[in-house]
Amino acid sequence: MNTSPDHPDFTALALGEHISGTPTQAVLEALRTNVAARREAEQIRAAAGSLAFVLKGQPPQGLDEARRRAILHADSAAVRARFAAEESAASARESVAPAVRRRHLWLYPGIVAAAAAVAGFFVLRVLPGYSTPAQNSNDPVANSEAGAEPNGKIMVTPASVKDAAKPYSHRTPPPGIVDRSAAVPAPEKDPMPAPEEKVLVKDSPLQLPVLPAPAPASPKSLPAGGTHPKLDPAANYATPPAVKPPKRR
Amino acid sequence: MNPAPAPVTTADLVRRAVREFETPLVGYAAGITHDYNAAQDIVQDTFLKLYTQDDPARLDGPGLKAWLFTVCRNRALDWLRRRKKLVSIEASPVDDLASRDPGPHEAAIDNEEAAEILRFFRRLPDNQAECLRLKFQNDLSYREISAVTGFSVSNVGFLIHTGLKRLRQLLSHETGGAHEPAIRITPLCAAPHCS
Repeated sequence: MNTSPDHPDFTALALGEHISGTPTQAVLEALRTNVAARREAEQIRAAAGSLAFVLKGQPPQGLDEARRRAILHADSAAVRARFAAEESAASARESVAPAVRRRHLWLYPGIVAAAAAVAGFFVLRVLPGYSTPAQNSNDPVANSEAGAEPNGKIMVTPASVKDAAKPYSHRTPPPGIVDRSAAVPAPEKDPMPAPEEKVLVKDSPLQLPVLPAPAPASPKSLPAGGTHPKLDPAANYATPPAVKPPKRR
Repeated sequence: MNPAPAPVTTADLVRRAVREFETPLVGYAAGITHDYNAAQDIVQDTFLKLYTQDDPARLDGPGLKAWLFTVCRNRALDWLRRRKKLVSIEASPVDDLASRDPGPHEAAIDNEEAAEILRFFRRLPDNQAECLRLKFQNDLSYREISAVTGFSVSNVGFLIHTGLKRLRQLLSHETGGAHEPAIRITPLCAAPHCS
């Protein structure tokens, strides 16, 4: 049983009803001691009481005297005959409806089959690398791209294999199909430069070359002091090191 | 030696049903149809249907209330279905509006807050309003409401919970955040766990 105040079980408990079985004494005790739960239950009962007061407090609506007399002094046989006629009319209406439905029963499998065929056609058209058999056999351009041999056999070209090997976002979409699912457009060149290339930031106030990252030092090359002889942590690599002039002889 | 109780006749059953359930049934049918005259016709047919029962003693008991409300509901829904067909054929929105006019009982309400509660109650979805009316106007239990409407007991609980919650939200919004309505009623439930 869910005793959360926003659950129907709680509302039922507050109204003296049970939905998910009889609540245990532990549940009732927990609700009695929980201040927030008691306040919520009181509000539920207050709203229910107000609604009951309004609905029951309306001026009584009864039957008029003529109808009441007709009920209390009705002829049992006549009433039975009347209701029997009503039920037979209702069953006659229901028996006609299934016959009408059966006449058109063949329509539904036909519609489903047609819808499946149309859906399959569109799915195959959207799939990349798909080419119709007509294209493969008659189209000279498709045949040249596909590498068809003069004897009509269709070869798989390296271009199509390369295209299939690419990530989906980088594949060339079929002609006439706009690939809207690709989040990244196919790049013309590799966007990431090689690590050894220097990237000069143009139009920036400080045109400083970015030095390559130093090679990691192996433990054996470290002196006893723990620092690499060439990489001094205290040195400021932003400024070029001072170059000593050659000694004059 | 106590004499055996007299067998229940159909006439006795009908008299008892009219005495106890005439007003609640007319109010219930009017809540579905929003037409007082149609509600009276429906309730009249509901009581007349008692004459078609072969064993009136079987209904003479706590089951009579649920049986009457079930029959009344089915006839009211049939009336609504027939009326909707007529409305769609004739395309007369004026008639539909006329059937939605408040009945004489609603026009006579002087209490402002009671009228407000009734106004918010009419804005609830039909299935929620029906379950709330059966519960709080006619004092049916969740199980009896389930038998009358055909909804499962858990669905009845969900509809009553959602309807009450919506009513409280509308009243709270209207009164500017005051959660408890001005009308204070003693708790409905007398069970120990409700204190």
